[in-house]
Amino acid sequence: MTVLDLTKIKCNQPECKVAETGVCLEGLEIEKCTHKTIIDGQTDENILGNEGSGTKEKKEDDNLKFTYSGDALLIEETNIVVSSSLTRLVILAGNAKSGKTTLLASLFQIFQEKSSFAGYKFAGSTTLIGLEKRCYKSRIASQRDTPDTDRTVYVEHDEFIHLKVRKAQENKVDILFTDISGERFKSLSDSQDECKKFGLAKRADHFVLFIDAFLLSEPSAKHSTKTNCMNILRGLIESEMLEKNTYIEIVFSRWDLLLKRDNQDQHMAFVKGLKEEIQKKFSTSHAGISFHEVASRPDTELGLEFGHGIDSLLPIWVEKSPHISSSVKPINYSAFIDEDEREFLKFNYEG
Amino acid sequence: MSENKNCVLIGLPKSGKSTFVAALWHVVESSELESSLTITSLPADRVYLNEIRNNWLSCSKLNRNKVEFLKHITLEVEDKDTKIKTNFGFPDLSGEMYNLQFESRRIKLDFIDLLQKSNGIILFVNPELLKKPILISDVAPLGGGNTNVDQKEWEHKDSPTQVVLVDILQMLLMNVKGSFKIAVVISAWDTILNTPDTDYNSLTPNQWLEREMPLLSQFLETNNDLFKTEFFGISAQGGDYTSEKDELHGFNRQSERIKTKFGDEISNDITLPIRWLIND
Repeated sequence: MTVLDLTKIKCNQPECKVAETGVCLEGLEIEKCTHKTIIDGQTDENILGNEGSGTKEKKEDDNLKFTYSGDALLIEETNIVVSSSLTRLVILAGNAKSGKTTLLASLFQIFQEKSSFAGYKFAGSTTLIGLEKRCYKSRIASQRDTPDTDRTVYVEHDEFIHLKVRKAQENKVDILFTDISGERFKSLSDSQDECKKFGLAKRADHFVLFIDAFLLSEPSAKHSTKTNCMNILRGLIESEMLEKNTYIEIVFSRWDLLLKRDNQDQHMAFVKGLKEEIQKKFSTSHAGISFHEVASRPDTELGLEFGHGIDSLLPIWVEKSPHISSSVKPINYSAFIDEDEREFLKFNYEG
Repeated sequence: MSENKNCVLIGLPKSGKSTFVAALWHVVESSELESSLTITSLPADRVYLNEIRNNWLSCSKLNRNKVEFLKHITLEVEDKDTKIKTNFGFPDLSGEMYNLQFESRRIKLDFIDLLQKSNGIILFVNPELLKKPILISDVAPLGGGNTNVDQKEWEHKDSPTQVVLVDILQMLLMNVKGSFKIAVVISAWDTILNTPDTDYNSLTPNQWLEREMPLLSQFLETNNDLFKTEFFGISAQGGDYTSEKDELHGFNRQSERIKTKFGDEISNDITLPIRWLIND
């Protein structure tokens, strides 16, 4: 088995990030790519290491071909999707338990129940296993009495969920959603240095900030919730990590729980004031700000439809992009990283 | 001169692949049906085909194929209308193999080889064995404590049937090039025809898939730039082997117990998906 020493590889194609990610722009195995240059007079053998180096075990059955994990993508794997087609990067941001993962799970659930959603049809996903895991605790198969969503755990490596959709006979569009823990966003609201490290935001087509409507209607929590969320947005804008043309969607999540509260007028007024404050502070620098009331998995008593409000978000994510779209090419699946390599990369992040 | 065409039968365990092969062998060998495919010469090795056909004729359940099972079948068939002869090859594979592909994320290289030599696939779905993505909130109102002590963690086998099939198709499509056809066969179609609900029993196979497996239906529709798709509802058994055995044995020409729905039309012609795959 081979171990890549990426520091010894340089690609002649400026847009190729093989030295950073280990993923060839052409989707080729590195040793087969003719665009690479080997630094310091090293040979392929030096760079690629030797069999039995200890980082990967020998495959038991050489007659089997690994396809792809089906789980959430690592950033190295997202290049395969990004370089292959029309792709939107949607960053789902917000504090822990604000409903980021639940929105993803509900969107996928809807495509499993309806023949289309908001004018779009499902066209594929390289992360079906990842999506299924995120849906699982809302289903009877989990043998639970009440629906739940696993909290996204804090890890150094960002994970991405992939969905491909198509409207009528238009081009298929790939959407990559981040699935990043709330703790990571807490650190963004606390530290400008952390904001500056969040380079992913620069490539985002959409920055979706989740604000928990249940907490906004909780007297003891509403002010800190508002402040924390505003700080995430302000921190990223002031550190110039959020580009001016990035679309910003403010999602008031768990909206059904706000609707169940007494003193509706008071809560609505607070939300209205927050919207106005966001507009006032950020609309001069970011024109594309919109607000959405979402109940991904609403309380059935209120009569809200499952996935309430997501239908207003999906068309925006698909149709609006600050980036010029490149020509559509099929995904080169051969460039997916095999299971051993994925574990190796995760180990490197964590180590 | 015969043209060579191949296809791969795909489906999860008990999706009706082997019963389809048994009934197909009977139809093409017996020539009981007027406008259909017929074989022009007997295959050299007919042991497996005759064994499953005898089971089918006696209305006995077929033994399930084991994971390693791979029986390659080639039939030289002639279209009675066009007189075009085709060597049609297809392996009868175990449904467990596809479950293993979904779980292990690996495909056997010799299977990829088969796939790359094929013009298309027949995808089997058994409407009686669908695992559906049922929400807790659909069966019980939200709220209340969680008292169930037997909560499960996610396993591959919990995935809905349509998710598994889309995933398997995606894995297979990674390995094919050029034009490709997918014939979707909804097996046990008699169970749909026999339901009293007239809105349900009059559905076309395409409409049934859109209603019962919307994710798979959308995937097939939105990827029409990658492959062509056609839909067939087929009851190769013709009915239930327990409650309708006498009626099934009552057909003098056993080919006539087969029910095939293509669009709005119902016939006995089980060769329709093969003819669609063969014809350019």
